[in-house]
Amino acid sequence: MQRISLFIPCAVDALLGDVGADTVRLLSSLGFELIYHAEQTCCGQPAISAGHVDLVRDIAKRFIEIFEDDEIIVSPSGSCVNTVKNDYPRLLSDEPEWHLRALNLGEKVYEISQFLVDQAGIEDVHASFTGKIAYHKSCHLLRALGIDLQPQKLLSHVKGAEIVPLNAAEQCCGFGGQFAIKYPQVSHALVRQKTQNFLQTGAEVLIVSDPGCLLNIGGYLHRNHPHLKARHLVSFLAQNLEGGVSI
Amino acid sequence: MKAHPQDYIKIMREEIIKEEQASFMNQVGAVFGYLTSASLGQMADQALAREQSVAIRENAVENLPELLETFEKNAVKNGMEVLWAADAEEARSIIKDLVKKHEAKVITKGKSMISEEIDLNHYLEEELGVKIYEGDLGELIVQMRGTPPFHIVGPAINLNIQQIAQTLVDHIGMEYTEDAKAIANYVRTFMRRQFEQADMGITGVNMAVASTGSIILVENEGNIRWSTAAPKVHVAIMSLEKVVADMADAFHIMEMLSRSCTGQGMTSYVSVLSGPRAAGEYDGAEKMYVIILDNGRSKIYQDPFLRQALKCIRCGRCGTACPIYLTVGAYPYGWCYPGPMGTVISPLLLGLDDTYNVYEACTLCGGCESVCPTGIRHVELFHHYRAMKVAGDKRFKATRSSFMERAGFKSWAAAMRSPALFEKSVGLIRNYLHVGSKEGQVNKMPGTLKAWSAYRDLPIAEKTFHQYWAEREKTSVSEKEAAAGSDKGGQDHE
Amino acid sequence: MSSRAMILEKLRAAGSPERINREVMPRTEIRRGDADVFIEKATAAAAQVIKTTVDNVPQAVRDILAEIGCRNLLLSDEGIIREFKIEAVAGEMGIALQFTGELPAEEYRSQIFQVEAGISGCDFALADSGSIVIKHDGDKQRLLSLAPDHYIALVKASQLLKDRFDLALLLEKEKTAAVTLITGVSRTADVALQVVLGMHGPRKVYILLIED
Repeated sequence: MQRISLFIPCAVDALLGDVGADTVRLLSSLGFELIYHAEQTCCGQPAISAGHVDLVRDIAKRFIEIFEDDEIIVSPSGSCVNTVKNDYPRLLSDEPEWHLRALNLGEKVYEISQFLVDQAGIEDVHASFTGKIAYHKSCHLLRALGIDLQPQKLLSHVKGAEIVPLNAAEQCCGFGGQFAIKYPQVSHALVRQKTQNFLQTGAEVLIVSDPGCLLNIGGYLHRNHPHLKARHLVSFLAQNLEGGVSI
Repeated sequence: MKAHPQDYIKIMREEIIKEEQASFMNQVGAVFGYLTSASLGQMADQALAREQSVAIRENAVENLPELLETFEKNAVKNGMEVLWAADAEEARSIIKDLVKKHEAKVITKGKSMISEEIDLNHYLEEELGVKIYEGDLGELIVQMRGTPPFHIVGPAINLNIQQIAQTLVDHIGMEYTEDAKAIANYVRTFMRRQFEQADMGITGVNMAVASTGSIILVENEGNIRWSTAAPKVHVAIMSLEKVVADMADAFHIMEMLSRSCTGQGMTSYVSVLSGPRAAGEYDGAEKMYVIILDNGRSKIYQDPFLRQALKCIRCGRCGTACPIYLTVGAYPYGWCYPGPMGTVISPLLLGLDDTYNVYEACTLCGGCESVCPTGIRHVELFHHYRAMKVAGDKRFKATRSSFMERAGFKSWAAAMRSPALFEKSVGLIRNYLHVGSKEGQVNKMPGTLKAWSAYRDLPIAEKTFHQYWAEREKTSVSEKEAAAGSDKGGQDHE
Repeated sequence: MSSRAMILEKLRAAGSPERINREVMPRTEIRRGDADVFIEKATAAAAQVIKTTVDNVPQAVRDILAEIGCRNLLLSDEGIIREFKIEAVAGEMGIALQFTGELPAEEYRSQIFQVEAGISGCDFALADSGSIVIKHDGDKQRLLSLAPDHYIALVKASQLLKDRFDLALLLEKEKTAAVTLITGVSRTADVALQVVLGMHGPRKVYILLIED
C-alpha cells in the first residue's frame, strides 16, 4: 500500500488535534501506512487572505521542500489543499523553477475524501451510525476544488445513517478566517442562518469538511444548541468504524 | 448618489440587527437561485452558453478601443450623436447642456446604474430645477425615499408593502392601500401623465452593438419604451465597457443577462435602437444622444489582470448568491453597486482606502464567482485588492497597511518558518485560551479574540496533533519492543 | 485634447488587443420557428394566443374585440391590416377607429393616450421565446403597442423564426431606427415581490397566430 504523508493544518494541530487523530485512525483502519513530517507548520493561507502575499513566498517554498518527495499527501482540509494546489503556483509564478515544483507538488496533494474516493477507490469505510445526519458543503472544497460528491459518497455508505438534505447547504457558514474576528456580527448572522437551516433538518449531527467550519459551527452549536453536534467528516467516520476505535 | 463606502461599519451595524430582513433576503436568494438555475438549465447547452458569454465579454474588453470607435462610427452614420465624458462631472455637464439646449422641463428615466454613479438626478434637479421621474416602479419608490437602490433589479426589494404604500401616499397622493395591483395601477396612471409630458428620456444602455451602431435596452415594465418613444429627445448614457462586437453577441449577452438576473428567457420588452425616429414615425426621439463615460475605467483598463472587472454585464446574480450581501443588505456598500458587483468595481473606482471594508468583509466563499456569466474571478480579484492595500498601491488610492499589522504578520510568518517557534506559539496560544475553557470548549476568548466569544464557543482539543503523534510513535515503539521482548523470554513486564 | 481622444489613447496604450476568436456565436442559416412552441412560450409570458386560419381571421378578430368590449381603437397602416380588412371588422362592430397614418402628428399623440386598443401586424415572431418583433419604420408606431390598455398583434405563421439569433442575422444586415421585441405582458415585481401584470404597457396582449 502507498505511504501517505499527512498534511495537518495549523488549526487542526493547535485546536482540533482530535480531527488529526481521527484522520490517522481512519487511514490506518483502511490499511494505509502513514508518515508525518513533524516540521510542518502552516500552509500560509491566513497571510494570503490578508494580502500579505510576500511573506508567504518563503513559507510556500519551505512547504514544498518538506513534502515534494512524498508520493501522496492527504489533508483533512479543503481550504489548505486549495492554498497549496492553486495559490502556490500563482504566488511563485515569477520564479519558474519554484513554479514548476509547486505545480508538481500540487498534483500529489489531496483532500481526504477526494483521495479516498477518487484515488483509492474507497467509498465504504465500514462505519455505522444510527441517526440522521446533514452535510454542509464547505466553500473551498466545493468551489475551489470542485469536491462535492466524494464526501457524500462516503457518508452514503455509513450503515444506518440517514442523510437529510440541508437547505442552502452550499452557503458559507461565515467563518472566513480573520473575517469572524473582524466582522463578528456578520459572521454571527451567517452561522446563525446556517444553524437555522440545520435545525430544520431534524438531524443531530452536521458533517463539515473544513476545520474552519468546524470551529465556527461547532462552537456556535455548543453555545446555543448543545445537544446538537458538528463533526468533521473524518471524525464522524473514524469514531463510528465498525471494528471499534483503535488508537 | 454620493458614494460613502467609508460608512460601511456604521451602516452594517444598523442593518445587521434587522434579523427579519436578513431572513427575508436569504429566502429571496434561495428563490433567485432556483429561478435562475432553472432558466439557465432550459438552454440547449448551458455549459457552452457560459463559455460563449465569457468569450464575448473577454473579446469585448480586449478589443475595447476598436469596438468603441466602430460603434461610434456606425452610430453616427445612423444619425445618433455620440459624446464622450472623461468623468462624472463632465457627463453631468454634457447632460445639463442638452437639457438646456432642448429646454426640457420634464424628464422620465429608465433604470440606469450609470446615472446613479454620476449622481445625475440630484444634479439636474438642483442646477436646473427640472422634474425627473424614475419610470421603474422600484426605482421611483427609492427616489422618493431618498435611499440607494437595494438591488440592481429590485431597488425596493427590502421594503414591505406598507412602506411602499406609505411612500406613495406621502409623495404622490395615493390613497393608502396594501393591494399590489392597486398600487401598481396608481403608479401606472401617475407615470402616464409624466410620459405624456416628458421632453426628454434618459436611459442607460445594456449593450452597445459595434457592427450596427445600435444600443439595446431591456426591461419588464415598459418605462424604457416610454422614455425612448414619447419624448422628442433621448439621452442614453453608457459606461465604456458596454460595447460588444455584433448583434449575435449582444443577443447572447442579453439572454445570459435575463436568465441570470430574473430567471427569464427574455424580458417583456427589448428595444433595439439604431438612431432617431424614422421617416413616417410619430413616436421616437428626434434627437438621440449616446454618452460614453469613462469615470475611472480607462485606468482600470491599464492593468491586464484588473481589466476583467469590466466584463460585468450587471446581471446582479452575484448578489443573490452572496451570504454577506443577503445578510447586511445593500446600504453598507455605500454606493449604487451593492454586493459582489460592488466589491468588484467600487475599490477600483473609489479607491482601496475608502472601500476597505467592502472587500475585507468577505469570506471569499466564491459563491459570486460560481454564478457569474462572464467568468470574472472574484476570489482572485478580492485577494488582489487586499494585497494591493497591504502594499499601498498608489494607482488605486491605497495607503500601505499599518506598521503594527505588518509587524504582526511578519512575526506570524517567522513562527511558520520555524517548527520550534511554531510549537512554542501554539503552546502559548493554547494556554492563553485555556484560561476561559470548559469541557473542551473555550467560552471566553481574551483580548482581540473577544469578538468570537460574543456569539460562540471555540472547540479546543486536549492535545495538539504534534503531541498526539509523538505519543502514538512512542506507544508503537514500546509495543514493538514489548513484542520483540515477549518473543524472546515470555516474561511479563509491567 | 478632447475627452474622446484622451480616453481612446489611454485604452489603446494599455496593451495589444489580441485577436482572440472574434466570432463567438455560430452563424447559421435563417431557421423557421415552430408554431406550437411559440404558442406555449407566449402563453407562459401571459399573452393570449389565438390560433386561426386565414379564412377565420375576421371572426377571430371580432371575438377578441367583443371580449375587450372596446369602443375605440387605432390601427397601424401596414399590409396585413388591410389584407384582412380589420378596419371593416371593427367598423361593423360600431367601434370608432382610425389608421395611425391618417392622423396628423398631434392628433395621433392625443388619440394614442385615449384609445382602448391598438392593432398592428408584426415583422417576425420568435418561437423559442414566444416574442413578437416589430420594426417601427413608419407604418407601425411605437406607442401603438405600448399605450393602449389592450394590444392585438397579427402574426402569420410564416413569419416565425426559431430564435433571437435568426433575428440577429437579419438585424445585422438592415437597419431600422427602432425594433421592439415584445414577450407577453409588461410586469413588475417591485411591490413586495408580488408580480403584477400590465405595468406601463397594455394590460392585455392578444396574439392572433394566422396559419398561412
